[in-house]
Amino acid sequence: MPSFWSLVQNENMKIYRRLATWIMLGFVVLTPFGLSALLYAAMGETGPGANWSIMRTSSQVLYFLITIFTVVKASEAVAGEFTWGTIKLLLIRPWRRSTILLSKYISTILFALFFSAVGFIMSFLTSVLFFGYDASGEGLSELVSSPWAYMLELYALQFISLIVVVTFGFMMSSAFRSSGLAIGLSIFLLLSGQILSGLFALVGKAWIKYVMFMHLDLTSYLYGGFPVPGQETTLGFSIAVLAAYVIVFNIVSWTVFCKRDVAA
Amino acid sequence: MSSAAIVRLHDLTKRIGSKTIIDRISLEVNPGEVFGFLGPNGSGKTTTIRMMVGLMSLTGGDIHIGGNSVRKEFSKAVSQIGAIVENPEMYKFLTGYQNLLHFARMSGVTKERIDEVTALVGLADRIHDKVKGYSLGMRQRLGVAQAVMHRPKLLVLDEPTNGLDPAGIRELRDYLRRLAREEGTAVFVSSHLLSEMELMCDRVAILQKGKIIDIRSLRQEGSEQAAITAEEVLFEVGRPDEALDALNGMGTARKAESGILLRADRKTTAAANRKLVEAGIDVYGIRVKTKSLEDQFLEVTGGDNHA
Repeated sequence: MPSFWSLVQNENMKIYRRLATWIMLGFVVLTPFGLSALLYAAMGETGPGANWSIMRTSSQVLYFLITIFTVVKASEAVAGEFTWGTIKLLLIRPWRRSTILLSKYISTILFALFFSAVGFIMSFLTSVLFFGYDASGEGLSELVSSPWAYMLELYALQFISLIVVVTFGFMMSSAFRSSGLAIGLSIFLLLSGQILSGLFALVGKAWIKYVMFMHLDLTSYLYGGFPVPGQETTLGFSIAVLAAYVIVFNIVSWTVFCKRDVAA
Repeated sequence: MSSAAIVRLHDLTKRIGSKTIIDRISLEVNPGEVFGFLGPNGSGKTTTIRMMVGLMSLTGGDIHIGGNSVRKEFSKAVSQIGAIVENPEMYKFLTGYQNLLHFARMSGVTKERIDEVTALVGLADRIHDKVKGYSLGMRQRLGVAQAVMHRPKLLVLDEPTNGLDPAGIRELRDYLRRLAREEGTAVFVSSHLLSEMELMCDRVAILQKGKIIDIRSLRQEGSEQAAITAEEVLFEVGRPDEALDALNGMGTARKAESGILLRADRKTTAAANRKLVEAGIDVYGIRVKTKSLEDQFLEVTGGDNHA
């Protein structure tokens, strides 16, 4: 019996043998370059350590793109098989449906990690290219320890939010078997998150700290702030709240994918 | 039916909502047998096949593949099946080879075996092209390759001749018969094309509105090519009334447009001819009239379902 990793290998083949994936990667490579160039044109020569604050800004913009690209891949991973009709060949092998779905989920997360790594490297390199390298990290006013640790934390926090949005897209894809709908709703979640969290903040009750939208931007912890206005939550609490939503989304995805008849 | 049947459907039932799609179907298919599943569109052929390969859940009854229940031992049961359900849909952005590699990884098939099946279906020179550029016939062959590469004991094909040209149909038919004969693979094939099934199958089940209304053998013992299901002999005679009298006592004799029709084998045909000649009736011709599966099919399904 072949191992589980051969399934992940298959999913990776279906991701990286597509031209669209490499076009996406092209955007992840070029966007930080464009952003640094733009910021350089806007600000001109700045003081020492500017490369870190530039990297932070371009990383936040870039991560938006990486999240959308991962959502596209997550939606395609499930709904695509139904659209292409290949689901009928995929599910008639000696593998449980739950295992097949897990291989898709894992390959999607690996995709996000790969793109995050490329994004990290590119936003670092391009900010250094335009603003020079400064080891002290003076440009980051709220810096606690080293600028490298700060940047890694920034990426880790953004990655957590990405997992939530992507898991949501994965669920939509599994439930509706339509990648367009799944992508659309996930981007809606991503875009409306801030507005909705603002509205919930206006409600001002204690329970809003359990609302997912309040925790979708965890980077406020980096600046010494809190994602839920007026409530001093910890990062651990935020992660626990998000984890609860991720678990629920995954229960829905797995239940629907494993139970439903393939009639298409 | 022997207990060595590779497929056993037992009281198989599928209900969706209050609608019964498949109603207590039971049948068995033996190793080396090409079994046809025949019925008009919407009779439940594809639903049955989807339940066999695990794409749909069973409402009632069970399916055993090589003795393993698809309900309880799904992996064991399905590992013995190779299938194409409806059209052979492949990953169009991958090459033929990458498609085969994909499914080979799922069943633990070696790379040598991939090359072997590629040659077998005659795709060797195009296997590294993207499937996007394949013709329907080539896709069908790639579909067959992925279905047989893990040497399944049962090959399930849903409407395999859909969209194929006559040469492609013939090729597929010959291949399936060879597979059944030489490797002992059981082939379960669904179709609404009666003439196709007649040429391909050893036995057929006729399905209508989710029920099996008939299972019959299409081949007599030892005869490979004569797909004769029921035989009547037409005697062309000048005076049918007298001829009928002369053949009195020979059972099924009846008057037809140009003579007398009689259900008869070779021996009876000779005997009947002698009787006619002895009675002084001129016999202008003797012809075997085979009743095609199509006639029979229309007969049993009442002829009101356009297949």
